[in-house]
Amino acid sequence: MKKILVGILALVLMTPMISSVFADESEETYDEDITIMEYQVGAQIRLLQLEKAITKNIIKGEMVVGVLNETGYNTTVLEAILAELEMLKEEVQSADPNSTDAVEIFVDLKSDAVELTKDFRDAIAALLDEQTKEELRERIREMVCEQVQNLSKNIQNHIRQFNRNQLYRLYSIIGLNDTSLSEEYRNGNVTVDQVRLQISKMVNQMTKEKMNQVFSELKESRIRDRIESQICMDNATAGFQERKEARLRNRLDQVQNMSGNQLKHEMENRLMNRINSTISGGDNGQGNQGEHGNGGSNGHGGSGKS
Amino acid sequence: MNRKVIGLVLGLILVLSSVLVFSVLTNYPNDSNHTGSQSDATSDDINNEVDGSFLEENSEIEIGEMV
Repeated sequence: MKKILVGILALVLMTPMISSVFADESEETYDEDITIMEYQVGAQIRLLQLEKAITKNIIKGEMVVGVLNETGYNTTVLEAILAELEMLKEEVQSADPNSTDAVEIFVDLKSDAVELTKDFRDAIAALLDEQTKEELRERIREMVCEQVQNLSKNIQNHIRQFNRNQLYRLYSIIGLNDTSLSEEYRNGNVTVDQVRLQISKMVNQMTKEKMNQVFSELKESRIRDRIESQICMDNATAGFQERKEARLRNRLDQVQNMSGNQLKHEMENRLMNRINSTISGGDNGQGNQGEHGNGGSNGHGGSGKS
Repeated sequence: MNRKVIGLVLGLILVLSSVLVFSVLTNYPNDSNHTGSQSDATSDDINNEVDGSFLEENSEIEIGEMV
């Protein structure tokens, strides 16, 4: 009887092992965010997008705090989180996209942004019921902010530049010298979907041999990018905790220079707790990225391609 | 009692076998497609690669929602 039970237990334990053997090996483990950061303009795009995401959350957070203040809630914890998000935004703004460790910086700061956003969400969850939160979400959806719109325009311009560079790269692989499509795209006369359609038409006119050659080069290029992304991810993971501790200490120094009040005290407490948690290894940094997972990445970024 | 246990074991083996067969059947076709595309590229293959080269102009980074 015991032997049979042991057998059943062994079979149950083996199930995940068997599944893992047959798991899809093509499952992506690298972070899409950092793949484009090997290009200078790609690094600029990611940092601007991060700045925009943080800015949006600060504005939303301020709105929520305003509403809660009106109804008599104590919002010191929420304000402390928002104040740290502001510090984080300044760090993102001052990050150099041309730096050799731009990717590492991006991964670190994005991780902080995810963590602070989650802290805010958790603090709200402890204060409000689901219906009130839904009402707040509704109000947030209706918000329009000029600051965010300006960032969006800036990001769009950079993305157009990135796509134009990609178009040049594709042209060189396909073997075309005509740059009219690229100019049309740069001037905003055609959309990226129209560009895709034009290239698709060119591809359809290719001979079989040419298709094979172009596909092979495109595939090779993509695989190279992914390998570099994987290296970047590994580099960014190394020393993550130490870098986090240094950032938190730097913020704590800034807070200690602030004039004394309740908010300052709350921020000091929060930062000290997180420093202790980081030192004790309770927070592995990359793990707190929750459902929005940042994945880490690399260090290789900002290699100067443009 | 012994019959019940044996039935349970057989049931478990049946489930595991099904998982194995399903995994094998859903993985091998991918591999053969992969091999095929390496030797004989189609316009769809190239278009997929081209599509992935461009960024959507309204793409954003996700850091989570505040509420």
